[in-house]
Amino acid sequence: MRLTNSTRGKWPEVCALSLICCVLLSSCRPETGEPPMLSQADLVVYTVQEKGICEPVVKEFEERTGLNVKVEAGSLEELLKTLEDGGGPCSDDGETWDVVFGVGIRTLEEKKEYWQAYESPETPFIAGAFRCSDHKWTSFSACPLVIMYNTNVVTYREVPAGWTSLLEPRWKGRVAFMDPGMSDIYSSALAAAVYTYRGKDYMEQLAANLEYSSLSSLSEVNSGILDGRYSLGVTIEGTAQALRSGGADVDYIYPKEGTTVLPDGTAIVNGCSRPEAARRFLDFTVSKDAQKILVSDLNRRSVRMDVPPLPGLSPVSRLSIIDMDLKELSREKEEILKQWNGILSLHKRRAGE
Amino acid sequence: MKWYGRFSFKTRVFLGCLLVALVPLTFSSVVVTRLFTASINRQMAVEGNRQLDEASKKLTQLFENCEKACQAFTADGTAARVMIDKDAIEMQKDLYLSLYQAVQEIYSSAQFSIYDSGGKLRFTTDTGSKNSFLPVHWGLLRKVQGVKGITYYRTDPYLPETDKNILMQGAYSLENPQGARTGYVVLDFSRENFDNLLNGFYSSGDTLLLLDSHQRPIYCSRPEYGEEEMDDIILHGMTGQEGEKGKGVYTRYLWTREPSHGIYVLLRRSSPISVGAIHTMRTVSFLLSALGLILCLLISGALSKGIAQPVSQLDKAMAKVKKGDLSIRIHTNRQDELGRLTESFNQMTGDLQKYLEDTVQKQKDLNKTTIKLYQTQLNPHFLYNTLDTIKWNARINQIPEIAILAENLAVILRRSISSRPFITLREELETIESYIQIQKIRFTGRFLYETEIPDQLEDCMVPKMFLQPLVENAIIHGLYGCENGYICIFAVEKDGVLSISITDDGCGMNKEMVDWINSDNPFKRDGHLGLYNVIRILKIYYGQEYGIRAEVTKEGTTIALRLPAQREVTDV
Repeated sequence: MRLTNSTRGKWPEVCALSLICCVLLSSCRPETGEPPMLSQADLVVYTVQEKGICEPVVKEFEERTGLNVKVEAGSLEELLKTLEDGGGPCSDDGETWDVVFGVGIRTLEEKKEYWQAYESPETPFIAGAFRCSDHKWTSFSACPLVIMYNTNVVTYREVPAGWTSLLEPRWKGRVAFMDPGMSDIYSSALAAAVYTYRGKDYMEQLAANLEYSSLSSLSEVNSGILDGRYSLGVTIEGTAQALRSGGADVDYIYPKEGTTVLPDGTAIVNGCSRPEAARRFLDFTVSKDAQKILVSDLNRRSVRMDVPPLPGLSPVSRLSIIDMDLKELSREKEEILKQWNGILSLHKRRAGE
Repeated sequence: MKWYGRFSFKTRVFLGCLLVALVPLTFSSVVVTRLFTASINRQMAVEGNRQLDEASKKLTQLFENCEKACQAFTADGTAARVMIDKDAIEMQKDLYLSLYQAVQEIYSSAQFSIYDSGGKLRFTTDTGSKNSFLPVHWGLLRKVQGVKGITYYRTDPYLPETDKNILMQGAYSLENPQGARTGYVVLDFSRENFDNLLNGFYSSGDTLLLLDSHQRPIYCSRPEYGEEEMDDIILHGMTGQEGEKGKGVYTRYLWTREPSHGIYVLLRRSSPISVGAIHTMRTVSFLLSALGLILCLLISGALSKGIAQPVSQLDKAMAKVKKGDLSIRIHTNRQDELGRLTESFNQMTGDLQKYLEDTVQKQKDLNKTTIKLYQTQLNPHFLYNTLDTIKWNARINQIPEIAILAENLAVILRRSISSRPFITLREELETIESYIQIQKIRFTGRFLYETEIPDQLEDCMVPKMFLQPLVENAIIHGLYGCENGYICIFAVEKDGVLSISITDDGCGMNKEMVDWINSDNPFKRDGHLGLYNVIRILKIYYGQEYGIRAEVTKEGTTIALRLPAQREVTDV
């Protein structure tokens, strides 16, 4: 740019003015924030358990070890999705998990390649049914499936007895049942029911009795029974026990044909960055103290042989539990899911016509 | 700066005014707003840190007091003994007494309970219902085992048996002098306890959070806050983020750590000015700027118009003048410099126009005179030859008067037709002489003619035939009806001015005529064309100061001519 003499003569003023402006503006810059609190997590735990189970265990672990645990809660679907995405077991913000905690054992078994083997010193105390042969995972708790009913709606004579009770016409539209495709509990329940049913077409009858509608979460099932919208439904023993001991108007039965026990467990992620803390956490989950609290306060069944259930509950060994191994159950469940979806879509087609 | 030069003068003035008025306004408004928010933010941080320190000190003091109370209570070992010796009712009373005494200072801050080594409740200062059992293999009582002093434990909200009102518990191991644990002193810190302790150390709009050493919330000053809100505050505190950026004054998250037990105190300071107030401030400042802009547009528009309009009018008028239109005038009411400039312009064009008109008129007059001159030149040779023939015929026929008449007429004719406009005074006088000869024959010598002219003046150049009309007037009008008249031509030079006067002693002339002659610019008048022409010729050739003056006295009439004494004529 060609400068005229007058402009050239004004350079010092222009410079001085710009300098003043810069100083003024920079002085107005908001100061930077406080130094952040340091919060380096010593352990990252991914859990699909509800907070009420997970938090006390984690808190006690923190208090005993002084480590900081970061808990990431999610659902089973999210866990499966994350694993199948191929990014490995880590959260959306890139933090790798050290431990997955309270995940159904079937899932742990299926995704074995993601876990590292670790044999906890507590393993000898775990009941044989809940042990993993190659120590890829360690079981944490067990939940037998029960049929819960509202005592205000279901009279003494109508108390359900087993899986066949769900087919009774008097409960038409009043059975709380979750979509088995969305829940491990319900697919297991359906498998157990079908497995023990002597007649044919259990699923068709059940679907008709449900009026082809299903709920989408376990809490909907529980609250539905609790407030009387549904008369009865399938749920896990811990929840039913918690509701009953909490004074709610519900009771539950173990299906007489035999129920299934859904154990969940803990596994250390392969290649995790804090294996030492992860092992300590895993040991703690199966420690006697933790298992005792599980039974006494968290309404779960312990997987340890030396921790008895609460007085009034039959020990697992006394329950009528169907005899299926994990692999067989998995296969069975897949087959059953397929059929269930087939029934529902058939109904939809018919309804459409 | 090239782009700047492209703008018109008006635009430049306008833009200049706009910039000068608007930039400082906008700049200062921005700076003031930012300074204001910055100072508020700074003040907020300082104030917040002070509050945090106070809260932290208060906590430390509470912990010290608790410690002291426990030590005082357990100092004599009675408490430890009572745990074992169940029967001593008197001792139990004493124990209650000492318990109440020990906790007197911190009575409003915590509830004291004593559990035996199995976790069973034995004594309590709490008046409300209470869990009669605490697990010894889990939680608080397990934590205190093997710890000297008081251990603090955040109450686990997820265990069904916990009292939701108790946020934190402390435990102190009760040991007998031999070192065996016989029970536990448990301190319960409820929400009210914390409220009592910390109330007044933070503003009502702020939120105070206590976190345990694992950064999990113990206490929140807002009981209505659920986990999500608390997690949000903790996240902000942990990452050091400022809340709600871009709104000027932020929500600040400040924290400190209580030194003795590592409890985090986290303070969320809401901005002292609400978002609405900042919005209002911004809106007001924006509106002011807009108002400034409008005012600025109006004023700078008017100003630039006031300056630029006369200039542009002058510019346009000047362009017209350049094209030759001198009739243009600019109307103005202004009294300032521009008004004077406009008036000067008007005056200048007026003068110029007048001058031009004068010049044109002069040229016209000159042309007319010249045409007349040409007309008189018609066929001069024919006239000469005729006059010559007349002269010779008169000589042959012995008629001398006619010969003289013809000869003199030829002289006058030659002079008058001559192409030279200026001749010497001598030549002019010769012409006059010829004329007099003729007139003497006409009037048979009734008058006397003489000249009084110095010799050196005879070389002066004068317009040709300019004396003849005056002499003619003197003879025909002045000496009308006179016997023995007298005509004298008198010339004198003074200061470069040649004065020639023609005097006759005739009957004079009337007053009106004298006034007409003596007027500055006599109008054209019938019957006096010769005299008028002389006056015009003198004025045109020499200028206004020269001309003719007439004077009538008893002796006669004098016509005086004034013209410059020039020996040669430079230009015509």
